[in-house]
Order: sequence, then structure tokens, then C-alpha cells
Amino acid sequence: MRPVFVIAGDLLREAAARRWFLGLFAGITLVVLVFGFALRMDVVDGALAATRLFGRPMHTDIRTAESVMSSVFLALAYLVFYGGLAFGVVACADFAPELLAPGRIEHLLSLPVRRWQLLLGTYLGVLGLAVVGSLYGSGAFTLLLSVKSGVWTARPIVAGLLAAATFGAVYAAMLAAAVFVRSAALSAAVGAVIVIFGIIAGEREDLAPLFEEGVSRAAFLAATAPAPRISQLASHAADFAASRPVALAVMLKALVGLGMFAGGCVVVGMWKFERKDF
Amino acid sequence: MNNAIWLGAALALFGAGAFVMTWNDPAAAERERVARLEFPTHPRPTDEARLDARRTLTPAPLATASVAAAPARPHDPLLVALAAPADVAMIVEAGTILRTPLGERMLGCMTAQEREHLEGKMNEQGVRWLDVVDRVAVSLAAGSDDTVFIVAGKLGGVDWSKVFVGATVERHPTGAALFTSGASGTSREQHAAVWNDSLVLVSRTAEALDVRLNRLRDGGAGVPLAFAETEEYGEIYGVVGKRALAGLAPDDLRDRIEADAAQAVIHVDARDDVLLVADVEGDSANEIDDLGKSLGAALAVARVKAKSDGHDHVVRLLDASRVRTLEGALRAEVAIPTALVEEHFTRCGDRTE
Repeated sequence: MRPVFVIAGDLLREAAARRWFLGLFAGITLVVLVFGFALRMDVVDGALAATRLFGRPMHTDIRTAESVMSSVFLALAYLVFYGGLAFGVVACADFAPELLAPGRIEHLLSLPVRRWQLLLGTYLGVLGLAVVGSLYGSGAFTLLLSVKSGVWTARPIVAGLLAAATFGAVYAAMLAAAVFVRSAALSAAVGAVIVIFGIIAGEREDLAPLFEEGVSRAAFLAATAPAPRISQLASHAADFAASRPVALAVMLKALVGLGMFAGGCVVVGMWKFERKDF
Repeated sequence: MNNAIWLGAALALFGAGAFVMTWNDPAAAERERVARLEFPTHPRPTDEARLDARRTLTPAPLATASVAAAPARPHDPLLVALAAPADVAMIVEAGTILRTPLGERMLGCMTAQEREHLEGKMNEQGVRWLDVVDRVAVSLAAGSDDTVFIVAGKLGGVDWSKVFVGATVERHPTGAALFTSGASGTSREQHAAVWNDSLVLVSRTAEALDVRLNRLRDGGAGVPLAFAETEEYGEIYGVVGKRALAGLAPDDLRDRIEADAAQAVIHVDARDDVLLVADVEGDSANEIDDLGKSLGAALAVARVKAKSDGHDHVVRLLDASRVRTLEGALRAEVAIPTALVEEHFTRCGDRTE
């Protein structure tokens, strides 16, 4: 497995060399700073006396900082989750097509590395990027809000890691698509479709009654069965960030299913990669 | 590795993922349970036996009938007393319902004060109503005073002077005892008739009772029943006319129901899960088909809205509701799961303390 991690490390180094990291961190830092300067909270004896966002007062009644921050962390978790997914789909779409670019792929294949290791290393490298990005984004936001409100918690950071894990499943499908057709646009489109499909799959029990009983409903349920439950995981992440009760068993099942979906997509990509002529 | 191994591994992963995410899913299990529910769409053997036992009223021979005509089949006196025309004609098997888990929970929900009041009333009147009442029925005619409430049961031992205290008593030509209370023309005016120690009819007008007592005297001969006796099954059953049906419908469907539907035949099975079936009939098969689709869509939209509003009990109710079209008629099926009923009555526990 060592070559896999070497390739993953190479991808991270390459991202840094391409100033990709710089762009990512600059973007996140900018959003955090704008938010940080715009938000002003007055906490007196654990109660939030006044809040101003972009100069506009947000609350007129005095509430405990914990109760207010619970809602703020909930919104933050959703922002990091869906914002992170959208950003990841767009920003990471060209990693796999770049890997497969003529000239570069021949060089990589000449190295003493198996093809599946090359693909798995790329996948883990991008997953590592997502983890670092989400840790930085959710960590910076959490730190900022904790300093301003006096409510210290690491829960939104864990929620950010859930978002990174979810992106892992989305990127697995993007990677497999790129192996079939070397196109950043197609890879991003597949990522977007998986995100939308995952949102639908997360609400499948609620949406199923919209289909007529019989073939159409059964087809909908069958089609959404293996899809990652993205909206469900987003809700779990938000509930966890806001210190609300989380159905742990349901969340674990969604996470295991997410891993299986990602594994299935990566295996399909490996299968195609092994058979491909370069 | 060959193709089969790669693709087999991928399929196994997708399959395992799907299995894990759908396995032991409470929502899916509830959906399957609801799909297996047997809604009251036809009489059970016990319903048929019950109806046969209740067919005790033999219609009088019609003056126009030929000598060779076969003797008419006896009717259920309560159904004869309800009789058409009515906007709503419903019968509740009160005695049966009170002995079901639902009825026991309803009675258990009474506060100590309410229980004391009921006991006091029954002691005062010298009758254990919960033991003697078999059925309760209502016949409503929109826009008229022809509304009649009927109680059916074994009422032979009841001292009616203690029940209708202060009422004047007279004898109807059919032999029924008539009790009148309240000044004529006022809102307190009330008439009651006790027929054959098995039916008590209560109305605001003497005419409404007179018509029904005459029908009972004739054994229901020559007048249409409020609904066919074959529809007498379940724990609650009857018909709801188009005006009353439109009144119950959501605003955006009200006009369509009034235009397209003729009436709805209702049956409720309340033995365990409360299961309601409403068969809506109309003049035009196409219009009824369209109405069915509109109702189905309205249910689905209402469910999504309830979900987004966080009204979980409504979501669970709508989960178990569906609309089907059946060759020119539509059938709405609504199930109120036992768990939901229990939850509702558990909440009333605070009230009974």
C-alpha cells in the first residue's frame, strides 16, 4: 500500500506547487474574515444581548449565547457541508483528467506502480485535500464564532469532517467518470448529478409516496437504494454541530453506505483503468 | 484480475451499501406494514352475521304489489329510521368501539371529574348507557331542521321519565312514546321518540320523527334506504353527500368535489389500526379519474409540507393514506396507525391526572 500513499502525497505536493492550496486557503480565509468583521456579538454574563451582521441588528430579545449559537452552528454546518461539496466538485474536477493527460500518464505508468495503486493514490490524495480544506474552513469559522460568543465547541469541526467524507463518495464517482472519458467538465457534471441524486436519496422515504404505487415507485426506490444519503448526512452533521440529538445508528448506516458507494465507484474506475490502452 | 472479479467486487459493494442503508429502516418497515393493511372494502363474516341478526323489521306488503310477489326481506330498523334523503347518514357501532383498544383508550382519557359526572348522570337516570347502547346514528339534511340522532340498543329497562326529565309524554299512532320538551319554536325545543324499546330518535322537529316512525310502522316498504344494507359493515359506516363532502375537502378541491362527486360511502374498521375507506362515486368516470389524481397529488403535497413544517404526526397519517381510481369511482384509504392513536391518548394522560 506504500505506493498508494506516495502517490497521494505527490498529489498534495502538486496541489501546493500549483498554488491550488494557496487559492483554497485564500478563499476560505477571505470568507471567514468578511464574516468575522461583519459579525458583532455582545455577550453579557453568558447571554447574547445584541448581534449585528453587516451593521444590521439581528435580535431584539436577550437569549442565552448557547441557544443562539446552536442555530448559528446549525447554519454553519449546512454552509460548510453543501458549500464544501459544491466547491469540491468544481475545484477537484480536473485532477483525474490531468493525471490521465497524454505525456503524463505514460510517465506514471513507466514507474514501478500498479495501475490500481495509481488511481487509489489519486483518490486518497483528493480526499486528503478535502479533509484539510474542511478542517481549515470549519475550524476557522468555529474559532471565530467561539471567540465572539464565548461558546466553545468542536462539534462544527466534526460536522466539517462528515462533509469531507461525503465529498469522498462524490469524488469517487467523478474519478470513475474521468477514467471513462477524460474530461473535467464531464467529471464535474457527474459530481453535480451525484450530489443532487444523493439529496434525493436522503429523502427517498418522503419522496416515494409521490410516485404511483407499483412499478414506478419500486423503480425509484431501487434506483436510490445504493446512492449516498447526502441530505440525510447533511442533516446529521448540522444536528451534531448544533448539539441536537442525532440518530447515531441511522447516521452510521448512512456512513457505511457512503463508504460502500465510494468503494464501488473506485473499483469501477480501477476496472476501466486496468483495461485502458494509453 | 479479470473483468468479472472487478465488476463483481463493484456490484457487491453497491449491493452491500444499499442493503446496509435500507436494512431495518423504520420508515420502510412502516411503509410495508401499511401496504399490508386490510382496509374495510367488503363485509367480514362477522359483519354478515351481525346484519342477519339485525334484520328484524318485515316490510308491510305494498298496496300495488301483485298477489304472487315474493315476501320482502326484513330490514334493519335503524337503517329504515335513517332513510333517505340525507346529506349525511352515518352509523357508529358505539358498543363495539368502546370495547376495542381505541375505545378503552378513549374512556381512559376522561378526567376524574368527567368520569364522576358521567357516573352521576347514569346513577340519576338509572341506566348504564355504556352497557345498553349498541349503535349511535345521525341523519343530517343540510339547510333543514330534519336532523335526527338515533340511539339503538337494548333499551327495555330504561325509565324514560328520568332521562327526559320535565318532558310531556304522548303516544304516537304507531305506539311509540313521544317526549317533548322546550318551548315550541325556540332553540330549546326537543322531541324524542322511543320505538319498540330498541330505538330512541331525537330531533328538533316533531315532523322529522313522525316521518321516521311511519316508515318503521311500514317496515321500510316503498322508501329508499339511506344506503344499501350490504354497506353495513365495519365499526363506522354510512354515506356523505356531495355538499358535506365538499365542506370537508381542502379549499382548492372544494368546487371540483361539488361538481364531480355524487356521494361518498364511508367504512371505518376500528378494531386495531383505525382504517378508513371512502368510496366516492360520481356521474362521469373521466371527471372522477381526474379528481382521484388531484386528490392523490394533494395528499403527496400535503405530506411534503407537513414534513417541512415538522408535523410528524400528520406525516405518519399521510404515509398511510392513498387514493385509487376504480373504473369511474375513486377510493380514498386512510390508516391511523395504532402507535399514533396510542401516542395521542398517552398525551392525554397529563389531563387525567
